[in-house]
Amino acid sequence: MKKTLLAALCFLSYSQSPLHATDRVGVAPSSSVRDLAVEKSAVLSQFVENLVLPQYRALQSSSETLAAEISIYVQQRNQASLDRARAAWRASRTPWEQSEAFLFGPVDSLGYDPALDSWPLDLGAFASALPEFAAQEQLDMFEVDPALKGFHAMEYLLFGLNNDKELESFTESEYRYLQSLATHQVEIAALLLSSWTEGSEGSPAFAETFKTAGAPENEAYPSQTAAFQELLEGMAGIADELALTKLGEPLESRDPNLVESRFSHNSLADFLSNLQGIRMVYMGGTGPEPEAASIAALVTADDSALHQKILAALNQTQVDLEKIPQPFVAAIGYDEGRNLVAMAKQSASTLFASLDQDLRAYLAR
Amino acid sequence: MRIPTLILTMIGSLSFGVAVGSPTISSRNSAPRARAGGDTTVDNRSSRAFTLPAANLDTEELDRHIVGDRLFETNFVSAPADLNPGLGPLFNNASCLGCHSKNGRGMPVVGARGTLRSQMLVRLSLEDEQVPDFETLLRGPAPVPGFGLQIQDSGVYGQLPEAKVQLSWQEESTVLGDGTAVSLRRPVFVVLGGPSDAGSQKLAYSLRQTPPIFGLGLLEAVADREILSWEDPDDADQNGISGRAQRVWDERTQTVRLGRFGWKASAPDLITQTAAAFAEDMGLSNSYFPEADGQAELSLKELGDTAFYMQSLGVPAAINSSGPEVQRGEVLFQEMLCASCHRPQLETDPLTPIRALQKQTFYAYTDLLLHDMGEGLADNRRDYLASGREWRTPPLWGLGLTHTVLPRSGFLHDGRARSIEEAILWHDGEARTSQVAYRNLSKNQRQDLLSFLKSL
Repeated sequence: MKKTLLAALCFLSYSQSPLHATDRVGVAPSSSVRDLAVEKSAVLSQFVENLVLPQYRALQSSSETLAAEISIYVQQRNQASLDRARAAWRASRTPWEQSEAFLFGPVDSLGYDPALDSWPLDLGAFASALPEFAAQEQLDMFEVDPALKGFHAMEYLLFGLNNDKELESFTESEYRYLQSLATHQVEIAALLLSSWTEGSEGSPAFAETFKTAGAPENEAYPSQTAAFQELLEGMAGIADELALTKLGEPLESRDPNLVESRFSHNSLADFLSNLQGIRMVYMGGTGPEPEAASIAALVTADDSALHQKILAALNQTQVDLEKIPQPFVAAIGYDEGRNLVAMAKQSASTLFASLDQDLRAYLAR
Repeated sequence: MRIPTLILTMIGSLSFGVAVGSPTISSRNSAPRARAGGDTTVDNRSSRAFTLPAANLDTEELDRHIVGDRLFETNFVSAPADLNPGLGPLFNNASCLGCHSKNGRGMPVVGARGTLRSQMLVRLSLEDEQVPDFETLLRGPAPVPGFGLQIQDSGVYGQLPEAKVQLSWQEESTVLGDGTAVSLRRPVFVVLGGPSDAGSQKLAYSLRQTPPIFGLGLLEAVADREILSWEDPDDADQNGISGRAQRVWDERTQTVRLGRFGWKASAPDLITQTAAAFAEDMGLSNSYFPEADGQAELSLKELGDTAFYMQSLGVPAAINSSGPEVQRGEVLFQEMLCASCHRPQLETDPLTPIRALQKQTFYAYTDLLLHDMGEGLADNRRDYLASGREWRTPPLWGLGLTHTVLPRSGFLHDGRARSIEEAILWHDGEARTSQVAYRNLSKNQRQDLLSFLKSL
C-alpha cells in the first residue's frame, strides 16, 4: 500500500521543464539539455551497477551461507549450529529488506517477491504439510504454495512463534523442510540476479532495460523521466509502507500478527534495512556522501536545502527507530514503547512527505 | 457483415503508400485528451502508474481508498487462521493483486510455472445448440454440475484443484500490404480433469486474462442512457459497425441491468464484479455470494471498500499528445474507424454518487458495447446476451504503459497478442475494416498509429 493524500496532491506539471525535455526521443536537444540527459543516464547506470547488482549478489551469497549453515545445523543439531543458522537468516534478511527500496522490475513482475517473502504464512497447513513434504523423494519447491515457503517459513521453523523455539522441539520433517527452503531461496536469489544481468522468461536483461531508459527501442522505459519516477516510487513506496503498514498498523491494532518478522524479533532490523535501502538509492551507494552520479548529487547541485531536508528526515527516522525497545512486537503493547513507535512512525511519514512531495516536485520541475 | 460503399472507398484510399492522415497539426488540440481521466488524472509513467489514487480525492475518499487498497493486496490463507482466513478451498489466486499485478494486464500464464502464478482463468458453461430465448439468456450462462462457471486450478493444502489447464501457443504468420511479415499466435488450451460429458449439451470454454483495473469508476459513472444512445444493432448508419449493449439479470435488485464490466460486459457494476471475483477466484464468500447457511467470510463493508479502491484509482495522463507523429496517428485512428468503437471521449453522469467522479470528461477509448470481432477471436461461448463472437470494446487508456507495468503481459481477452500491432491484426468481424486499413498503411503510417496508441 503506497498511496497517501500527499501522493494524490503532487502531480505537478512538468511539460516545460528541461528534465522533461530530455524525454523527447528523436528531438535534437540543446547542449545543456544533452548534458542533463547524460547526467541522468549516469545516475541510472550507477544505480544499476553499484547498487542493484551488488545488492542482489549479496542476497545470493547470504542465501548460500544460510543454506550452508542450515545444512550444518541439520547435521550437528546443537545449540551452537542453530545459533549460527539463525544469525545467517538475519544476515540474509538485510540485503533483501534493503532491496525493498527498489521493488520493481523482475522481482515484482516474475513473482520472485512472493516466492521469497510471502506473508502471512498458512500456519494452519504447516503441521500437515511438512510430513508430506518430507516424505517426497524430490520435493519441487516451485510447486509449493508461496504461503508455505520463503523467508518467513524459515523464520517460523528456526525461531518458533515468538523467538522461543527450543532445540529439542525440532522435528525430522522440519529439519528436512528447512533444507529445502534454504536451497530454494538460493535458486530464487540466483534467478533474481540473472533476470537483471542476463534476462529471463524471454525478456532482455533488466539492467540494460533500466540503464537505457529513453532510448528509442526501450518500450518499458521510453523516457528517462519514467525511470526516475520508478526510482522515486520505490523510495517513497517503502517509506510510506514503513510508516503506515509496518509501524502504523501494529501500533493501531496492537495485533502481533501484523508485525513483520515477529517470529525472530527481527522487525526493527528489517525496518532499519528498509531505511538504509532508501538512503542507498538516494545517495547512489552506501557511503556517507552522495556518489557523483546520484539523485542526491543532482538535488545538491540545484537545491541544497532540499538535500539537507531529505538527509535530516532519513537521519531522524533512523534515530527514532533505534530508540524503540526490542522486541518491537512487545513495544506495541505498552505505553512507553507505543510512544516511541508513534514517534518513529511520524518520522517515517515526514520522510515519505519529503520524498513524495519535495523530491517529486524537484524531479518534475 | 455488409461493408458499405463509403467504407470500401475509404479502404481504397488507405492503400499502401497513399498519403492519408495529414492533419493540419497546428489546428488540432489534443491537450484535453492528455488529461485522460479528467480530474482523476495522475502524471506518472512508472510501473506504479496504474496503482495511484485519483488526483482529486478528498481526505475521506482517500482514507477509504487506502482501506480498499489493503484489502486488494491482502494475501488470504486457509481457515482457521489469525490473519486473513478464508481462502478456498478451491481458488485461482490468493489475492486480488495476485492476478491484477500492479493493476495492469495480466501475463498469459496458467497454473504455476516457476515463480509465476496464474493470471488467467478458464470460464466454462453448458450450452444448447439452439440459442435460448431472451429470458434465459438474461440469466447468464448455465453452470456445469460439479464445476460451476469457472475452473479453479488451485486448492488449499490437502484440497486437489478442480482441474488443471495446460496452455500452449500455435504460431502463424501474416503479411501486411507492404510485404512485412508479422507473427501471430493463438492459444491452445486443454482442461485436464475437467468435465468429460455434457450429455445432450455442449461444453463451452473461454480463456480469460486479467484486464487493467484503473479508471473503472469513471466507466461505471457513464449514464446508461449515454451508452444506449450509441447502440446501433442493425447498423442503421451503415458504417459496418453495429454495437449493442449487454443486458444481465441482477439477482440482487431483481431487475434487468446494463452490463458493462468484464470481457463480455457480464457484470452490471463494480461491486458485483468484485463480489464474484472474491467468490470465484479466491473462494471467499461474501454478502453477494454467501455460504449455504447465509454466512459470509467478507463483510459488505469490505466488499464495498475493495470496489471503491478500483472506483477511485487515478488514470495516467497521455503523453506527447502534441507530437506530430502522435497527432498523425490520432487522425489515422479516426479515419480507420477505430474510434467508432474505441470512442475517445466519455462523460460521467453528474449525479454519480462518488464526488470525485462527478462531471468528468475523460478519454477511455471505449463505447462499452458488444461487437462481433470475428471468428479468429471467438470463444464460441455465450455470456448473457453476448454471442461467442462478441466482446465488449476494451478501453485503450494506459495502453502505452502496458509493458512498463508488466513486461510480458499480453493484449486481448486471452493475452495472445504480444504487441499492439498483433492485437490490431486480430481484429475482424465489425472491426475488419480497421484491420484491413492497418494492413494497407505504409510503414511510416503504421508507426504513426502505434505512436499514438503508445502515447495513451
